[in-house]
Amino acid sequence: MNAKYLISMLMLLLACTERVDFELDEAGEPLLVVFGEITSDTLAHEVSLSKSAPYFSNQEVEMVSDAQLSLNDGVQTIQLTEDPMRPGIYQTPANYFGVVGRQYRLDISNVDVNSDGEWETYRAETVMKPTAPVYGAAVVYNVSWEGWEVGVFSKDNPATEDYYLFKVYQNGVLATDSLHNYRAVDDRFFNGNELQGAFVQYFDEEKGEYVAKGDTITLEMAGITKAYYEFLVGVDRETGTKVPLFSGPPANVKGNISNGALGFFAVMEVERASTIFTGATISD
Amino acid sequence: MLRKLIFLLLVCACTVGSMHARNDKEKLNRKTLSGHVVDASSGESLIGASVMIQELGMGTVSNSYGFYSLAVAPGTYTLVCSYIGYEDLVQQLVLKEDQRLEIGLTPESEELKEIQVFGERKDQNITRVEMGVERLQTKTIKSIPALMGEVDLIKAIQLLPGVHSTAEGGSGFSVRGGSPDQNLILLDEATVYNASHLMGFFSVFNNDAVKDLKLYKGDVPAQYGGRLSSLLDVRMKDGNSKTFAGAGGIGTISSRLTLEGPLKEDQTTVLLSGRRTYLDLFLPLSSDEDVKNSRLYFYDASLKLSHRFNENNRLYVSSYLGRDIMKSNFFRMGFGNKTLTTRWNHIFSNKLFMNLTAVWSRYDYELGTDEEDPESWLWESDLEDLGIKVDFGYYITPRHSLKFGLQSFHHAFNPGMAMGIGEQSIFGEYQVGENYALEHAGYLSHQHHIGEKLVLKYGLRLSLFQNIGEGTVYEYGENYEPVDSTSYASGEVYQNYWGMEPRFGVNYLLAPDWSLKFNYNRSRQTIQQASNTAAGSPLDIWFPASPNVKPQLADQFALGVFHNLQQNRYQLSMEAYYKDMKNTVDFADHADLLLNKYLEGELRVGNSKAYGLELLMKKTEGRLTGWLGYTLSRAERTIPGINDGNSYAAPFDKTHDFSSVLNYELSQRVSLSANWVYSTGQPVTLPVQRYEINGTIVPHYSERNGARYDDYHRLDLSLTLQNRKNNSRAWKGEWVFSIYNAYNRKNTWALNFVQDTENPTQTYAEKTYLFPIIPAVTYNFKF
Repeated sequence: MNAKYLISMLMLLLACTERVDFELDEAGEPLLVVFGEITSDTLAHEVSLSKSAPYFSNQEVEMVSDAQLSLNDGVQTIQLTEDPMRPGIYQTPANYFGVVGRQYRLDISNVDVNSDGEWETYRAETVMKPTAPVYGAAVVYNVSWEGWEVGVFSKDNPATEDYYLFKVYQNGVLATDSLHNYRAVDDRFFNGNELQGAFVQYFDEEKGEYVAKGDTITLEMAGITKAYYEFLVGVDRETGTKVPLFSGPPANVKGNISNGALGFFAVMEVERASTIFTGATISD
Repeated sequence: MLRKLIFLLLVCACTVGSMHARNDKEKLNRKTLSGHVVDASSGESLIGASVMIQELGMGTVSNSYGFYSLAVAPGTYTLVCSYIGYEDLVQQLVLKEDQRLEIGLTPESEELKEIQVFGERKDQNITRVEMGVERLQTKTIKSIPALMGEVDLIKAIQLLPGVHSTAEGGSGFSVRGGSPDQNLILLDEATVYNASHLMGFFSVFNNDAVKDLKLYKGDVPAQYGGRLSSLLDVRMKDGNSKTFAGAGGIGTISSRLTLEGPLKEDQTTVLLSGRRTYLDLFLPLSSDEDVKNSRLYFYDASLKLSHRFNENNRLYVSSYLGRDIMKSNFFRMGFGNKTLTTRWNHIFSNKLFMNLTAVWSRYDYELGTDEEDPESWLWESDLEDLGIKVDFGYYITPRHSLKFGLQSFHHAFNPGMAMGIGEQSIFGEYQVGENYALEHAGYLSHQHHIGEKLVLKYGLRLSLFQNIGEGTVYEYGENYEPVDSTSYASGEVYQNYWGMEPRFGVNYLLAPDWSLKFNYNRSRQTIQQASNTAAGSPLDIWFPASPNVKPQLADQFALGVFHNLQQNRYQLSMEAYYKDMKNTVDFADHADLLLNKYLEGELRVGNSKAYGLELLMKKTEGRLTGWLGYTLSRAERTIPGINDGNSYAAPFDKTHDFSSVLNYELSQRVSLSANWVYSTGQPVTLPVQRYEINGTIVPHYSERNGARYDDYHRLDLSLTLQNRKNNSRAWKGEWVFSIYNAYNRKNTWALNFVQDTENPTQTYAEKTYLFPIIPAVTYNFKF
């Protein structure tokens, strides 16, 4: 229900914007930033470690190397190894996969983010939620909005409060490669319902995204925890345009890493379905 | 509880009775002069007109229905009645018996203005015990340059000291650091829950239909309660009871028309007023299909019927209907207020005035999409009040007067219901859950003149708030997550909150043109708005106190010095206030306030305080009129769970706030108005760090509201040109040319921190500003 965004757009038609210089308060010490998603797929899953920076630093992000990461899923504990080609990226063994219902614990040690000469340790805990079955996907071009809408065919579990994350691949390449194009939903408004082609992902022509006739579009639906959903919504609010009518005060996005670190460590079950864009169009 | 209320009223009644007994002797001799003060040309009753007996140096002030009553010893007196904008009426009077006297005042004519002899009693600001109260006349409001030429009374009160707008161009206002939902806005006694049109840029009041407005920034009479910050009491015109008349205007964005007149002369009067914006009437000319089929407009209509049965009985029926409509090919939205008030004025004796009010008001909105898609939906919410009040004014002697009454309201809240519509919709129905509440109050207030210099006003309001079924209450755990729920049957009372609200005021006349006032005021608020945004939106819902939400409390102390210069031509005042508030509501980070069953889990409750100093210099007569106002203030909150429990600036805190509102009559036909406002920028939370997650840069903040936007300032100008006088013609026209934001100041409306799409390692700050220079032309007419 993105009525707010529609009204905001109307408001922004009236408004003008310009870049301004702003003095910001002292940034303070850098913080550890953790991000990782482990899925039910069997592959080398990645966790990245980096540092936060002053807001207007405008430099490449600084990665954190040589940390020790261990992951416990209640059955076994595995060590993640840093990719020698990509500093700060730590990988599970290639045969690793998540299992629905298991509790996961990520421990990070051997890091000194604030360079005070003392080692710090961090921990993240989460659980793997099931997703809903994906029966199929659909893609159409919406003439009115100038973009491709990707729809899902699925059925929500009426007995549970569910949160879903949708990602999309174009010809096998992940198109939703960053948090700002993730789509996360809760089942508040469709609890227990069939989703028959509900629009859950989008290729925006205005942003230079393009789907050609014959392209294979793969939709991925993941079951995520409420905490991860709230993290994604928080990121969306903090990185989206703020409008005084609807936007509350800015606030820090709440992650699940201990000891003041930022970011999130998530585990999720995924299901996928693919479709081929036939050139079908709609308008509204 | 009810029993207590009844007991209190009995006590009141006894006090009145014993006072009767004590004063019996004196009273036997007293004769009462009473009646109404009206505009002689239109018959419109005048609120707050001064009625004085010169020889005694005593007087009274007409009430909200124009009624006055003075009980004095028989004799021959000089009666002086005065009201701003009217010629003084001086009349010799032989008072032997109780007497009814209808006083008609003649509006000040342009010619007379030049040689105005100033009336003696325009010093109500000095003599009245109330403080923190501002009254604006519609004439004054009309002369203030307005955004797009739309005369707007809320924009006018935002220019008063202690009051400021909550967002650029918005009609939300904050009084003495309070939130917009802490203002009680009454239109003919009916609560207006959302006073704005068009996303807040215009207020719902059509100035042509308004007679009088009074803003209480503190010192709210015991008769009113339920909000912590202020009362904005707007009274609609009754209509011309002498002849048919009309007024209207054709503006840049809207047109309006008001018709009024007697259905039966001096007995039944009707007033009908309407306004509609028409910018969207040009949309069909667009070549773009989407734009062509879009609609964006608002309208409002007011109706008032007044009937005089006889000199002791009058009936008023007033109704307001306003609505905003937005429509496009894929989306529609509508919201608005409706009110209906029926009042019966009855004069029991020359001294006892009663008003019985039945009131209904409703605010609702609905929005949705068209019906054919899987994502089609409809979302509705509404809030409805039904209430009855009885208010008495007992004018015992000019030295003693009592006000007392009882009131009871029923509130029905439907915070939101959303559902899929159409065959294909994937959405089910989501109902937040309706809930109901009762709000009762009884009050008694006594105004007492002691000697020549001292006036006391003290009163008590007893209020009782009750949550009643049918409803569901959720219980929350340590982390504010719902852990349990309880459902209550229809009519079952499941929570009572009652409390006493003492109100006290004193005025000491230091000299005829100097006075010192002090005021203490306690108020309770049981209904508040779930809004954590700067500007507010029409979707913000109201929610009541409940087992999880305690009523908000405020204690306000104010001290003021008032001084008039040059025969009251200049009025100066200085007021200092301190407000201590408990159970202040703020919201969790990233709170989800709409369509949320667990809204109460998003609340964070703590304390807050506000203090400040307000200076005002006002000139009400002569060629140059207007005011200069300055406020120095601070408002802060301390709420566990927000800003790590540390105090932070309240969202509407402004350190400095200056406004000047001036109107100069260049000639009889031409007048020039200017207002300039300057204030400290609103508090804002700025990021200190950033972090990157798979390519998305997320800001990281330190202190809540630790920084501020740039200072706000703006100049507006207007020129009013009246048509040449032609006395043989009833038609009077005038042109108003206005410029909003004359020097094109780019005041910050929003500040965003943006990741550059071209160069993703770059982040920058971007401000959004709304209104550049906006010229507008309006033609107003009267007949």
